[in-house]
Amino acid sequence: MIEAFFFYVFAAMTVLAGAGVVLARNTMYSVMWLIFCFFNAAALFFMLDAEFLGIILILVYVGAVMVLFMFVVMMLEVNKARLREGFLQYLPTGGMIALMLLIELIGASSSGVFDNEKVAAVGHLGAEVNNTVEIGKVLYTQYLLSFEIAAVILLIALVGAIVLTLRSRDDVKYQNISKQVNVRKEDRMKTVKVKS
Amino acid sequence: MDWVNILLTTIVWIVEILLIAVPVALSVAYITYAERRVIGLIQARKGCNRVGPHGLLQPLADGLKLFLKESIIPTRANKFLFVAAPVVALTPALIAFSVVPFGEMSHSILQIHDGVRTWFADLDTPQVMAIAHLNVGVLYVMAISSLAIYGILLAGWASNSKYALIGAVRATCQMVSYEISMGFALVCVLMLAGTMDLSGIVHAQEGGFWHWYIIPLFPMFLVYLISGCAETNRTPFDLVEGEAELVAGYFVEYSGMWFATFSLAEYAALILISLMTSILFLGGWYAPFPFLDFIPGTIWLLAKTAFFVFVFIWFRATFPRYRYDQMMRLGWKVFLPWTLAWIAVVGIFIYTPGLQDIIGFYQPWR
Amino acid sequence: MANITFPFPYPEHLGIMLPEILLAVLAMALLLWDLFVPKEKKGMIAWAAVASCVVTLIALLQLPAGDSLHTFYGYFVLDPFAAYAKVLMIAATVLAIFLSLDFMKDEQNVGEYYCLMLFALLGMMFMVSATNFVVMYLGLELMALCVYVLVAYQRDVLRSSEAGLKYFILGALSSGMLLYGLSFIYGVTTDFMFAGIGEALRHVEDGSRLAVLLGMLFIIAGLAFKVSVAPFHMWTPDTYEGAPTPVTAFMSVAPKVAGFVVFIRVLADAFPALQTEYTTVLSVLAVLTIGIGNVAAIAQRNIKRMLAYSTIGHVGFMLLGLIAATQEGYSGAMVYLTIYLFMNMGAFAIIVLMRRDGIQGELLDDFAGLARVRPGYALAMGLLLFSLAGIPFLAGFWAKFAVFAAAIHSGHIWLAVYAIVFSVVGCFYYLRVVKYMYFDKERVAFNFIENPVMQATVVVTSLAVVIFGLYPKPVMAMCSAAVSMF
Repeated sequence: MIEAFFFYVFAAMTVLAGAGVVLARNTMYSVMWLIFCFFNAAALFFMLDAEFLGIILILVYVGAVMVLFMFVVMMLEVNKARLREGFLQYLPTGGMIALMLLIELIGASSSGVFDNEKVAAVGHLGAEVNNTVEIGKVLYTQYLLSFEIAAVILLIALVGAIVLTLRSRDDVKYQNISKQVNVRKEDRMKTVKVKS
Repeated sequence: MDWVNILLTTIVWIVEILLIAVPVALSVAYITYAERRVIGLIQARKGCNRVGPHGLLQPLADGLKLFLKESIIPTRANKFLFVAAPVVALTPALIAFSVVPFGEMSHSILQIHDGVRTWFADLDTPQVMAIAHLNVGVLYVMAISSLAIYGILLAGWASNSKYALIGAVRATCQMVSYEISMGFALVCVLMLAGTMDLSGIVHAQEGGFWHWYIIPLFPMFLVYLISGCAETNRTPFDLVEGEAELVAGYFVEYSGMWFATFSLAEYAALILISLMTSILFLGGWYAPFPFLDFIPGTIWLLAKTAFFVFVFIWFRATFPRYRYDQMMRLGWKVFLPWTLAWIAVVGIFIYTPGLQDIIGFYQPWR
Repeated sequence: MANITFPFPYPEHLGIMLPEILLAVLAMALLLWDLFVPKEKKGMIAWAAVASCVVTLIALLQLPAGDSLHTFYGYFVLDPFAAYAKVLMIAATVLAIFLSLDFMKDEQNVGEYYCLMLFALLGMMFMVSATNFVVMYLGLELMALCVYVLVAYQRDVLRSSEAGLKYFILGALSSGMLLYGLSFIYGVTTDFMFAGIGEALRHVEDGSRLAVLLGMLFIIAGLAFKVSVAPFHMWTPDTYEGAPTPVTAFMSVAPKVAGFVVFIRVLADAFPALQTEYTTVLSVLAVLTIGIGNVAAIAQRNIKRMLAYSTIGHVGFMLLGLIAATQEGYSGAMVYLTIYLFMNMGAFAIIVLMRRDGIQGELLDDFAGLARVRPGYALAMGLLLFSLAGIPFLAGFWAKFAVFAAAIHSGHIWLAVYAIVFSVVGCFYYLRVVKYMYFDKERVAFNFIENPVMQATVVVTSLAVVIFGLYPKPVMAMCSAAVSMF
């Protein structure tokens, strides 16, 4: 009973936060709604005894990704009111797509695949199963290949971001620290004999 | 579950929370006092010694002063976020304590407890003295303490002041950068302990200081300590609030009680880092020599914590502030490769047949 | 103390993945080595990248070909189909690196450029060897991420950044569609393996039929996007035009090979139970693609845009092989991809060679009078364009012949007729370029890039087109051997 109550609380909060992301006037508030949304999603994970996933969601998304989001939003000072000018114009298309997705979801979920008796078989694993260990076991055996490819993808993301942004520019005065530190007397100073 | 049960559980929880939150708040107050006295001693002066005997009432006087001061909201500030920021900063600093195990209850206490225990047996594990006994405790502390940044970020942005904003931006880079090396240092500990449960990590270090992880992981201990210093924005990494450049950084616009809240959060984070260092590397509640076990574990843990708090204060009195690019360099170009290399070293030790026996000493669970 | 065993069950099968492992290691080593290479010697990286490709190729060829070898819990398969596709993609990568030799030498971060190409190749190699949607998707993303960056490489050129951004956003959208479809299929079958899904879908309850169909539609849409099938082709012209020309050459060939291999695997292994449904969907897509590609190409004045639409048209023809859904059809598609690789690489090589003052010979007008200035290039370009148009006894003819024959044999006669009509329409815009080259006066002065390797590329590709045209047997035999397990 109490579990169902908390589920509905967190689920409602998640939906509310999702709506907040879209509807907030201030971009900063949008980001904060999104953070709130992640928190509630993490809480839902916790309720499924998947505490590892829940914590990772907070650690990675809230702790790192959203910080950078907020950082960018702070720096950009996006004027959301201006972004919204064409909002209604796209409403029919966007609304239709959303409606289609909704109908599909309802269709899929009512198709009998997610019937209670099938889902119940998965159900709660209870406290005796340490899901961190279990995730580790499948991740490093069955999904090892996928895991390694994902690692390469992250490497590429790093390389790509650096490649696209790192330009050696001549018009900035950049201090080369190692050069500064390693400088010697002979590099800077010249003794000149001056006739007296 | 009937209502009496729920009510009782709630009361027990509230008591547990208060048992941790109140001492934390008090020790924050007295850490500020200790800081001033210690720095005073190091700099060959007296520090505060006027209010009460040896100046012991100074924190109370400070608190009263801050409490009575007017809290000003700048005109162009975002009022809601401006007020929310201190709260956002303080909350994670306090809730991170919920999984920290302060010790183990001895058998006799357990038996006294038994009467109550039946009421909330499902909800609590009374052997470990923590509000919540989470089996991903380490990750929880990491996750929650990484949230502290939001308070700073929001404060900096909502103040609508350039010093505050620059402070917040610096804080973001600094905390995100050092969190990585901190996380990798933690991974080494996890590899040895084989669990993410904080009490499990302590258990793995049972029996004398030669079992503590500070010995096989000494470089990681240093990385963790220094990164912790950077995470809490303490000198020599206090560029976030560097008064010479940014007046006071992200909280330049705050006054009165809100200002005090930020300080509270900062010192709470300091205590947390000290606690975590003690738990992860210094054997938590175990005594350095088994024959000293008659002293309760909690006292050992708090003593170790107090030592690290002292070390942080010592840092502050000793080191000059880093330059920003030097600090970033330290985080990314020194600590990160260092921690990665050490993970590889530990991994090689664990999986190489001959070396397994050496490292196996630190893996009693195998 | 417990004995710790390495958690991998059959390490002797690691050898099956040797080419991929070698390529990954070499690419990463290259990435590091690049840091120590002084700026004026960056050309060495290109040659090292070529060497990495060759090493990978050797590692691939020494593996026992012939039957399906599984490894990593069956998540990775090496069969003749995958091996053949890998050879094609390695060839495409090497050719693209050759095209970049002179082109990229003034750019910044040249070393990473070649590394990204190698990583894209790695992603595609995983794609073609995937036996399940997880590895397939990850390989796809690895490839796509590299290509996004490569497209936007000339960051100071506005249209390059624009192309990169467009490709990235639409690519992300298509990935989203693919994943959305996957979630449906996984929900119904609770399986990621192609074979497992295929088995589960054979006896799926009526209630889940809608979910399965939707899932399949989204998966087809996502894959169609990656191989630029209309109506998911919108990114193609802009991206091809904006990307650096060697990158355009690369992405017009290699990802298409990978995409089609995955397409064939998904359709043949995962959705055989839904063959009537997907045939209908693909027929509509093919009709659209062939029509749009060939008609829109006529209106283009920029040759890269024109070739982009021509790619769309060719992809439409290749789809016929998938619609046939027979061994002959799949083999036809592979023949098409093989020949297309050489034709397109050659055509782009000539465009790259015509670079001047930072601008490539890109407008149709630039080709005017080429026969007088450089008769050799004009001859090669003419041959390649004739082949692209499908004039008999050049390679392109056999490519078309193979898929059309397969379509007719499987009963899609009207589709084949439609395709033949449009390939005649397509002749117009290819031959128009030939007309510009041979019958018009020269309008702009060129300084051609004089790079023996790139010139050799042109020679090799145009020779290949002629030889394949005269002796199509070996290619056809190889391709039908490659798809023999379907």
